[in-house]
Amino acid sequence: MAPNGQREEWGSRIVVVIAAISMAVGTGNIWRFPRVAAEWGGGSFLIAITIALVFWAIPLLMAEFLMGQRSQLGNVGAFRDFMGKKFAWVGAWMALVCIGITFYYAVVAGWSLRYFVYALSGSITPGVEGQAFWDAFIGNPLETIGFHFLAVLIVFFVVYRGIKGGLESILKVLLPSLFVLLIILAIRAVLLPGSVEGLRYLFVPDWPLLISGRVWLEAFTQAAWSTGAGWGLLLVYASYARAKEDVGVNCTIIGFADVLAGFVAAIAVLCTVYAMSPTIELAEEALAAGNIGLTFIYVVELLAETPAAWLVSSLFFLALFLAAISSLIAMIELITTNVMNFGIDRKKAAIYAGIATFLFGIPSALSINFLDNQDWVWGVGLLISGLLTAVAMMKYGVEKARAQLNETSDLHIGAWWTFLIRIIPLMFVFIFGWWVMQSIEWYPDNWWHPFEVFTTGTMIFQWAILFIVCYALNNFFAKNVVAGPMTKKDE
Amino acid sequence: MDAEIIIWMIVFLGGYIAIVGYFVRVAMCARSKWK
Repeated sequence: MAPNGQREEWGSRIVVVIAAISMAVGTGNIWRFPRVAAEWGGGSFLIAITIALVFWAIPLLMAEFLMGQRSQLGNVGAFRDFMGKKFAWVGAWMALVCIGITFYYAVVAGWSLRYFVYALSGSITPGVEGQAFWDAFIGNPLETIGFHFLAVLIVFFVVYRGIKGGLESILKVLLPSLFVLLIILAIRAVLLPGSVEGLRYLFVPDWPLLISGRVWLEAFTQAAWSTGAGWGLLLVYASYARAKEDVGVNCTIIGFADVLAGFVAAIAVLCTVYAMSPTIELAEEALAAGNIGLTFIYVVELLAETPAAWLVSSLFFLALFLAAISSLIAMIELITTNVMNFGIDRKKAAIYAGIATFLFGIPSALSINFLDNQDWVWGVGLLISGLLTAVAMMKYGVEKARAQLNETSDLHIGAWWTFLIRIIPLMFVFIFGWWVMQSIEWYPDNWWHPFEVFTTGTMIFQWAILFIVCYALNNFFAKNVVAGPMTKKDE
Repeated sequence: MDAEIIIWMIVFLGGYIAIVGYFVRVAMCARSKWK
């Protein structure tokens, strides 16, 4: 609720769309999308991700939007009101998986801020040793925790000021700025001699790869993670939407705009990597170095060699920081909204969310292994949240939900939506099964181990703890989350 | 830059811009207030 007791609400439709695109566009668009697209067949991957967008991400985004808009509550209250009081734990699961990501994501936002400061101060100069640079930073707890604190503090002030005074006014400036930065970086990268190889790896399809199951699995997971489908973030943003807000068109814009941002970022990153690497092999080595290795080690070295390195590296890390912050705002808003649903006012809830994010982020700021583990456990956990959203629709009635979508939608949502929601469990089995199989292949001898970084055992162990906690507290959640418009109807 | 790259850039980049542009246009002309 706003300070005057009125329900907080986004000011206009364009603001809802901007906020939701800001939520979706994050570091994954800049550090994961280019890497995965180049590795998995360029154009073939782009075809696969377009299909994944339509089959997985957009239907789930619509479901989330409907749940938030109708219930006017956070994740716990929305699932309680859509599935029944026995299922409040499902919303708690979704919220806590996202909160698990928030804790380490704030640390990554802090890294982006630190590298932006490095770049701005002229530290990224020709001949810089990316690995040594990274080791010096990550081995200094005062810096990693300090910049984590600064990132949380910035986002805290935005969320503390509420929907209109905070999120709306900041995101309206932040998202266009991010797109402008990415476009400038992309144009700059395309103009580098040798950049054409980057464009070839990004856009030209490698047709034989299109029949590879791995390409499709990578595309579906990228679509799920990048658009925020199943995260529960759009549900929270939609809880502040007007009752007559369109769902179908808005969610389609959100999904496609998110991948479009990935395209622009991929042009900037891949053209720079291929233009500045002395050999194709070195470029491929950079892309194989993982998200952190590519962004904070190889890109640093390559940007240092470009003309106007100071300006280009500053713009790149500013873009990365803005992308991180735009998503972190949504994540801390998710915590705040769910705390507010227990009858606590926004300012107090934002303070609790800020303190929790800072404190629980400290282990990730101190240990890369811990951060990697949390990324692994809760990243794959998001797929379960996506499944649970589809299950919530089925429990509520998919046709009933579709009829409600059509009440406010500017375009008719056809029976295709019902079909896609119903086959999401099947898609889940394939994607999730593949991730589990992969983790068993990585650690054939101790895949069951609960205390290794990337094992199946650690996922199941942490999910089990979360499930037990959520399920045990179900009645507490069901009774103590405030009533929304749908709750009142049921009573 | 060879023709193959230009064609695929137009297909993907152009296609996505066209889709986003089309739906933004639908939204702007729709009954619910855009601004």
